[in-house]
Amino acid sequence: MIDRKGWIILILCSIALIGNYIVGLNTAQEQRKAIAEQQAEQKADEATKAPAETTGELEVLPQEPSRPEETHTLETKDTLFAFSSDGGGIDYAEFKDELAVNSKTSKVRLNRFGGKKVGTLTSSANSFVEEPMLVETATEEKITYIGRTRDGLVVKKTYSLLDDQSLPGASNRVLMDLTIQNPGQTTFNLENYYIYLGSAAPLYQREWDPQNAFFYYADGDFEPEDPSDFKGGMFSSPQPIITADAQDVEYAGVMNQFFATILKQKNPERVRLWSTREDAPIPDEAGGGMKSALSGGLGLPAKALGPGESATFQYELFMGPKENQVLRALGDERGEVMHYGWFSLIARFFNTVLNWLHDIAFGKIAPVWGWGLSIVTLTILIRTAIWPLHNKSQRTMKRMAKLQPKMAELKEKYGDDPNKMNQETMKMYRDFGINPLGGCLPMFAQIPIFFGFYKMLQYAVELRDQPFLWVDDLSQPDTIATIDLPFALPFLGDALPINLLPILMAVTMVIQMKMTPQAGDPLQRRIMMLMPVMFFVFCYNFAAALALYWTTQNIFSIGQTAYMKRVPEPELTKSNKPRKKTLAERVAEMEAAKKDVQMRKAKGRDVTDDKGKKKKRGPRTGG
Amino acid sequence: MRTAAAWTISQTVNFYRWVLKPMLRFANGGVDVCRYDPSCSAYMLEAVELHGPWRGAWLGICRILRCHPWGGCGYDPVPRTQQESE
Repeated sequence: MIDRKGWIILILCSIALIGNYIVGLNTAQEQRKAIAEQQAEQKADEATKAPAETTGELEVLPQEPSRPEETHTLETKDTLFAFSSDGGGIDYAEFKDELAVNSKTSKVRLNRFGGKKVGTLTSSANSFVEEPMLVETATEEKITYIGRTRDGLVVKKTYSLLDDQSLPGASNRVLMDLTIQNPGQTTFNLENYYIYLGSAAPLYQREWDPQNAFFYYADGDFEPEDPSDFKGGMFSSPQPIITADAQDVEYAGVMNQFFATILKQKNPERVRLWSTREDAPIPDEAGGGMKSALSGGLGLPAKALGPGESATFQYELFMGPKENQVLRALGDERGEVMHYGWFSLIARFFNTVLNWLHDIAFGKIAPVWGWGLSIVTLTILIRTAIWPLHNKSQRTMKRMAKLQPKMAELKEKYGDDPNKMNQETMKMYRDFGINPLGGCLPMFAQIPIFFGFYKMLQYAVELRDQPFLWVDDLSQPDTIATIDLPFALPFLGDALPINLLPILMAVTMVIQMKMTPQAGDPLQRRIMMLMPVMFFVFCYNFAAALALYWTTQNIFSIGQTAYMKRVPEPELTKSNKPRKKTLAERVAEMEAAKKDVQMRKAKGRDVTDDKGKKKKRGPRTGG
Repeated sequence: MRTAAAWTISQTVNFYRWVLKPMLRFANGGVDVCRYDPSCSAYMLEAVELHGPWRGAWLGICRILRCHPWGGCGYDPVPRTQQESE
């Protein structure tokens, strides 16, 4: 029971959460102002700084900030990398097979916002230091840029596609060699320079914020920073820029729910990192409005570059869909970018099984509905695996419910003697052939299974744009129509989408609930009645894949319960036949006996501390 | 400290009973599975009340660990404290 104190706490917590949200909104505005001011300052700074006089070897480079931008592309079978000489980096990566949300023509692009190029050098957050660059060579597999920074370093960057395009994720990988030369008279510390990682923003309005993140992998840990880390709230102040200085950094990058840019350095080294957040407009067909775009920079390793010296660094850039198996195959812990969280192992396992089901069976039998069928099959497989548990516990529960009056009798009789009570209960269970098979521990063990499966579906880029039944895209809600309302609803807004699968989910839930025996006190039962409504509201805008999973599961449960009802239930009669004891009963008896002994020992101690005397005592009967 | 811990534990158990348990029950096809009387959550609450947060939580965890297909079943109340049994 929730007592009055509990309710008060609950209400206080809700108020605190709402307050946190409102404060977050306000601080986000202030933060935007702060960033604008900061950028203005930076511009002023840059304007006053005279370009350093240099006497480098690469005299071929004229200081021409107005040099026209040259664009080139590197293309693989899945991806188009658009390069720009303006900063010498990747303007965007476009994925040929991935259509933008609710669009029939435009493709998904990474690094859509900000206009800065992935691979450009920065000296701090959003402060880009390179002059427009010269294109030295540009072939179908390789582009080399030469240029210089505003403070006088000469920079050479070579981007090349992988020779072996059969490697995992090869079509999304680009190698980057960076050479920095110091033609001047002063020594530069390279740890003050960063490679820009580009930006990542949600693909659609309803994408959940924490799925959008800047991240790095350092010292064995995956560290994500999502928009809420920048916006701040009641308990944290907003941070326009988050910086880090980390040991053993393997890689860093930015991602949204389904796509990621990952920049890996050749060897793990201590580097600095920065990241910022800015507003990103979402296309109207994907829901419109503003979301956050996160961008960041991966620092160069600490190295003092004296006059005339040069240094070379090697990187590998991955820009592509977050497919669990591909990312794992990339190696160097890049699979952690899936960010499955607590239930990672189970989510990975399910992802492998789902892909396997699709690749060996459904992708071939039904190429169009393959993924949907795989989800349904996997759900049924999971439920079948835990069928015996449910089967038995459902049966046991029914019988125990029938025994309830007898239990009450026993309790009245032996209530103040736990041992006797237990013995009598066990005896009664044995007499009526009850052998509970379930238990709280197996039920807890199921939590990771459900959450792992859920998490896996949520992040499965494989499901993007995959139709099933009336669903167009399994990674999006299955809206079949939209009704315009004259007022706004919580969670939903004023345009009410009709999502068929969540409705089916709620309906099957109610049916299932009506079929199964109700347990608990009246208040608990009433709360149970509210569950379908709660689920319906919370899950209404879920990806169709998740609603499909729940609906399949409910239908399975309904079938299971119906089957259980058909199987004739043995009458609850006392069986006097001697029966072989089950393992559970034997263990329980042993436990009871052990407890009995302990209890006696304890009582013995109470009476006398002398151990010697205890032995002389006659055995007591268990009372 | 003790009361704060006891309060935290009982609120966690309450959260489980009122929010998580109904969800789990749904995911499970509407079945309550505890093998014991009182149920594990009730046991935990009572144990914390009787024995304080540390020993109480320990007793409750032991109880959950006993509640599996090869464990015992039936009436299993929280052990009384020394003072109470005297």
